[in-house]
Amino acid sequence: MIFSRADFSYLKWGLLISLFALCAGGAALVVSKNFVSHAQHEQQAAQHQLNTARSQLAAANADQENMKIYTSAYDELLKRNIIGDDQRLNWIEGLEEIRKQHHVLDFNYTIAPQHPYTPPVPLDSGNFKLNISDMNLQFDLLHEYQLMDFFDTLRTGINGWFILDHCAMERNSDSVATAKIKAECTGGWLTLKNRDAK
Amino acid sequence: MGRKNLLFLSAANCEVCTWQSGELSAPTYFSDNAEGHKQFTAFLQTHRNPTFLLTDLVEEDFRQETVPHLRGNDRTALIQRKLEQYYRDTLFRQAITLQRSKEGRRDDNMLFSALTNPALITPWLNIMLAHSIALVGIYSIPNTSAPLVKDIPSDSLLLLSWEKHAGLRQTYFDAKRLRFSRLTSINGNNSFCATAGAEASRTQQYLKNLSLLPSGQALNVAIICHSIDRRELESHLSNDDDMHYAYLDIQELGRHLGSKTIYLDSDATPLFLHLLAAQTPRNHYAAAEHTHSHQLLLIRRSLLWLSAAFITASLLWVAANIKETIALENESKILKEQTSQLSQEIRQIVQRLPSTPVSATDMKTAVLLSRSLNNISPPPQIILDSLAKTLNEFPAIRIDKLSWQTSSGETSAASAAAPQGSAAAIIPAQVILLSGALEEFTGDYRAALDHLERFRQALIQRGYSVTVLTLPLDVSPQGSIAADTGDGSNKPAQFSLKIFWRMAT
Repeated sequence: MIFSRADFSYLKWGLLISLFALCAGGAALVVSKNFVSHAQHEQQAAQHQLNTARSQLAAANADQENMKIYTSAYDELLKRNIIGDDQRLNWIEGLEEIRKQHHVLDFNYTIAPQHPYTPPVPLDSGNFKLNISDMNLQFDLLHEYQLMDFFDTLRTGINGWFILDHCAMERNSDSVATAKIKAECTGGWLTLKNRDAK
Repeated sequence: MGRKNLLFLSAANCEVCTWQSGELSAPTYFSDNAEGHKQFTAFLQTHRNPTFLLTDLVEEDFRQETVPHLRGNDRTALIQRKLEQYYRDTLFRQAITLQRSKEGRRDDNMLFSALTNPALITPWLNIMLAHSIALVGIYSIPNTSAPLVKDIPSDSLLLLSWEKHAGLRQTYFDAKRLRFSRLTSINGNNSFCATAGAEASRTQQYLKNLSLLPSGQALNVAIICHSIDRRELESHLSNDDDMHYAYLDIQELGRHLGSKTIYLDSDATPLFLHLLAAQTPRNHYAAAEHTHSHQLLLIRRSLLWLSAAFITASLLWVAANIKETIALENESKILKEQTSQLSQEIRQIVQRLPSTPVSATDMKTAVLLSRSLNNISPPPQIILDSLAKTLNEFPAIRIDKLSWQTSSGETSAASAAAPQGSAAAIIPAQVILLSGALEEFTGDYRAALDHLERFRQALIQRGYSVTVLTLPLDVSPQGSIAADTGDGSNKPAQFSLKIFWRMAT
């Protein structure tokens, strides 16, 4: 079929109406689809907010429960200066106090600079940084139980947390000496530092 | 169904009816002269409907020919060449493939036909073209008749019909395919009844001469007639070996085809006009330029229908989108309400929590961490308590060296025994090295070894894992023994043990 200019004149309104229908229908589709997309985004955002709120509620409930369970134990850690910075002066004063109590014949110690502590097994330290100040101890003992008494007093008498890593006791070869046993122990003063603490 | 103009053209007459939903209007007659053409023009201006031109002319020629079976452009060229050869002087021509031969080259058996006197059609056609009337097509009675015979069980059928202003039309169908048709001019109803038999006999003879009717085969003649004329026809016509007559009641036939016209006589013109309007066949004789306006009309209608369909589909889709939007908004609203309730609940819980410098999570972490570290490094009293008690039970054992250390990854019997992933498995063992000797040893190695074994068993019973490092005498097959009986009693019975201990969880 061959079209002439007059044919287009005849078809003009049909073409215009088709064009209008195409544009109007297409525009209506696009606009309505946009409404759907917008509503979908809103619904997804609302769902996300609800999920977040549920998580927050679970966390709040957990906080409430944790507060009940752990507050007293945490306060104890605070009281013992385990949480926070090094309290070297307290340790030295405590050790000298023990010396005066004569639990052992004699002892010497050295405290090394503080450094990060890596536990022998992996532990979740959460928001806390573990630091340790290594301490080396040499003892002159009359008998083995003096060492036990010393560490018992160290644990209960000083505000701090001493972790004993290694100890070696040996019978003194000099049978006439007062110190029947020589001992050497290594360990460290452990502190927990909250990363958020200023 | 839309209104249609039906133009019936015979040699002496041009009549136009309008047709809608099976109803045919009374015909308007136009003379083939200037006045008639003027009236026809006026009629068309007030009836701008799609128009069908049905011809019933003596000058319609049929030629049957077998041509090679071709496809595409070759076939088009062949047909065009044949039409030029047979009907050079007319535009109103067509070619129909009747059937394809089943033998030999399997050629096509074709029927070429044409309206050979264009002068009869052109004046009316020109008026329609001049006024851009949508001409659907140009048709002829023989070519339109096929639906009338499709239910008649005969392979050699002659259909007789009478068109008042044209004459007696005889159309021959071979196996229901049009083969030949002729028109005989007669005047008046009585002449139709009187001449039908004679004309049928002539046609039979003609068909036999052309070998279109096989020799010895009877010709079935179906006559379209009114019930009133049937009696007269039956009186004139009688069946014999060569001719079998059957009568098709024009009123019944019309009703069967959906016509609402009341037929008063045997004039089949209204019947064929209705058949053309109701079951329009493909165009017979109109060229593309004749139906151009109709094609434009179809295009415009298609555009409008497509537009309407697209708008409707769009509206349905939009409605579905609106419905989905409303559903989503309602869902969002419910979710927001739930979020608001939860937020309120959270605020109440947070308000009840005591004010602390650290979060509850940090508190928990610090406490659990300190407990884990306590387990990793227990105080020496706990590590050595059971060892000290055991030693008290074995006063003959003298300890010379004692050391202990937190194991860091050393595989011990205790570690190996602990189930994977259990608390015991993550608490490192304490490794105790113990060296000593048996006091008051008199050289009785058997008694010494027995004593040390009992000591070892006692340690195991208290929860230690014990590995013997050295014994006073190595009695294993791998050991070497040197006997010196002279000073055997002075040699100390020394031994060393490696002991593993793990804090109970």
